Amino acid sequence: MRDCENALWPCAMTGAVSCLAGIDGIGTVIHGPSGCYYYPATILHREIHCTSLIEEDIICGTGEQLRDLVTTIRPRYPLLAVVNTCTPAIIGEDFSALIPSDVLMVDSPGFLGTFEDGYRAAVDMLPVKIDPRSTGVNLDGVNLLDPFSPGNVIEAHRILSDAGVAVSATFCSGNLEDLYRASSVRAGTNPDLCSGWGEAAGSLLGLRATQDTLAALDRRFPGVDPGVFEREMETVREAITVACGKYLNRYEPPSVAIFSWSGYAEFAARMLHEYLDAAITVVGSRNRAGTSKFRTAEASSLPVVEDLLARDPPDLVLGSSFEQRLCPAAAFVPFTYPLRGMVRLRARPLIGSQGLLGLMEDVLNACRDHAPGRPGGY
Amino acid sequence: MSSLRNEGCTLTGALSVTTAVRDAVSIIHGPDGCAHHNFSLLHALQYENDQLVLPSIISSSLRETDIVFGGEEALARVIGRAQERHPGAIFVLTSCVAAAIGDDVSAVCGEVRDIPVMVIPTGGFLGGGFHDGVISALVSLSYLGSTGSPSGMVNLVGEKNLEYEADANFHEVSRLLALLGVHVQLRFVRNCSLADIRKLGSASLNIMRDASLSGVGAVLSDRFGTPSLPAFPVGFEGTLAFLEAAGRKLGIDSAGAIASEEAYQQQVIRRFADLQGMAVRIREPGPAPGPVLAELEKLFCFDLQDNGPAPQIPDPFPVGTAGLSRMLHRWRRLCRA
Repeated sequence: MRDCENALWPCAMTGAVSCLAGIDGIGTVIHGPSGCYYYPATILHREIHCTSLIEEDIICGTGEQLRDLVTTIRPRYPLLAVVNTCTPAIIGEDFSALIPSDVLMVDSPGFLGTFEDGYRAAVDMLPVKIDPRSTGVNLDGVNLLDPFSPGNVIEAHRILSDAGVAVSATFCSGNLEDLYRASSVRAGTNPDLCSGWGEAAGSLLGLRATQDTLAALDRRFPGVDPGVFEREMETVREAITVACGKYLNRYEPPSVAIFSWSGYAEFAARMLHEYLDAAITVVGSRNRAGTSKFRTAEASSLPVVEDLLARDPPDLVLGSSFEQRLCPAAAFVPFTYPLRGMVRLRARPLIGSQGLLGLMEDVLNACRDHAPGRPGGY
Repeated sequence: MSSLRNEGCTLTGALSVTTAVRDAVSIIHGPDGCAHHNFSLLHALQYENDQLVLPSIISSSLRETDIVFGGEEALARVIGRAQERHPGAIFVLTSCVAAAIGDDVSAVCGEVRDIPVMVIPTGGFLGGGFHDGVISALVSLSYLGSTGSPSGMVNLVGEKNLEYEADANFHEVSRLLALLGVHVQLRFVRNCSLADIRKLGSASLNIMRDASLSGVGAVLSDRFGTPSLPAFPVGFEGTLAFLEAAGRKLGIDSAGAIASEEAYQQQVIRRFADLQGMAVRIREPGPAPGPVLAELEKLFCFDLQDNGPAPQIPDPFPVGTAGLSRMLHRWRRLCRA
């Protein structure tokens, strides 16, 4: 039986909306009640529309409500997308005769699956046109729920620009127009949110992965220069090695529990193990856990997280404000949604050089603040 | 567009009540997404209110197969799981998914013997809106109350648990009641236990959070014979009237309390003397009760304009004299801007 207490991750409908609402030029409509609208509208911080269904719509049919809203807002957007919610999906109304055929209908009710399932259902519906002549690359894995996405986009553009590679389309942010001239190649940021649009050249998560991805692009396109990044990564490695060495001169390495998407959590575990000789107590995955040399567990409900933290109490937690609340004595680094009770304004990447530097900087500072001898230290 | 369309889910309204019972568990008979949306919202609001205890919301995790074959087995399983925690009671709230597939939730819950299992008919948006959920939960939980001899104390009924100022409003009402020599017996329902709720029927007076809860007041009156006041006080005059009405219902001479509060109000009004003649644009219709705005206009001789600065009128409107004072501080910032 699935663990079902205090679920920590949003539903498939929210996943679909997070894809569509990230793209400028797509008007996103939630076909459902206002209760289903407020949550994604609150956490995604984008303009989203809702048919705001009430009981009488279910009795009389919801099509008219949807048609009226689509007719009203259609002139404002080059493209409209409608995401279905649970009850209209159960009723199974056919809207094909009511709304224009160019409106995307994404059937991703909450009961259908996970946030990631909904995201992929929406990505698959996007009107992408691959331009075989494009020498750019699609940026993949960008998502409104991901606190690292704004920073990842900036860092990816910087790295790719230094290498002489243009970004074609971004899944899922940027402009709708970009989707019409997407590249046949993609580079990933968040490994758990692959769009599938274009052939995978690799990932930008981590120095080695970025180096390999740029090398793959170099083999594929003329004029790509991975040299700038290769020189930069040596500097980055040295800076992190020195900073971690200095820390280890004074303190024991921390034991760390990490919670996020599977790929992000695994990446952080590897980096902390490599540079800081940290003991990883658990890699807790909000989605389906991947394979790992570390102890992994699916951690999508509060009691499971509570149990994982209690079984092997860590010195340091990377996670959400849920984990922060459950483990107040440990050092904490904000690492995944939701991040309540703190102010976060600037774009922080996790990919590339700046992402790794930021991660290690946050970890070292959090550990130093909690180090033995300091108030509240472990 | 009707307000019902925009007011949110009955589940959220009902959960805002049921999760405020410390020793009970709330089950959502619906998909995990509904549980996460509500748990995340309550988590966020608790951070804002510096509350450290996370609510406990269990979902029956309805999936596509349950939609096809029915979700009653999933509900029975999750009730069993909740029982393992030995809560004092289990509240089962229905989602629109459960309502749409027509599960017989009462029958499933009726099979549980050793722990009180209470069905709170919410039905997601098929049960109305947020406010309907609040009322449904309050009425359902009132069945956990027992009758008793009037204690001379009062119950506060239907405090808005998602409201940022909920505790500030509670302190203000408590302060006013203390002027009458009266204490709060039960906050029905905010941060209380099932044992606390059992005292529901022994209060001498129920004070409803606002007039929209009059139906709940009527239910409590029918069941326990407890008189009620319709709402927390708003406005200077309204606060004095509240003291008078509470005193009358409780058989207490309120003259001293009213005189004391009136003197305090004069102090507050003098503190804001610099607002006299302030040029403002009062947006109508707003959340403020008309008589309160008229009272403020008269007290401070506002220069009402069509295009002047528009002071924020909080919704819900601030409670009591202290609430007005907090609001006037914010208005003064506007005056100085």
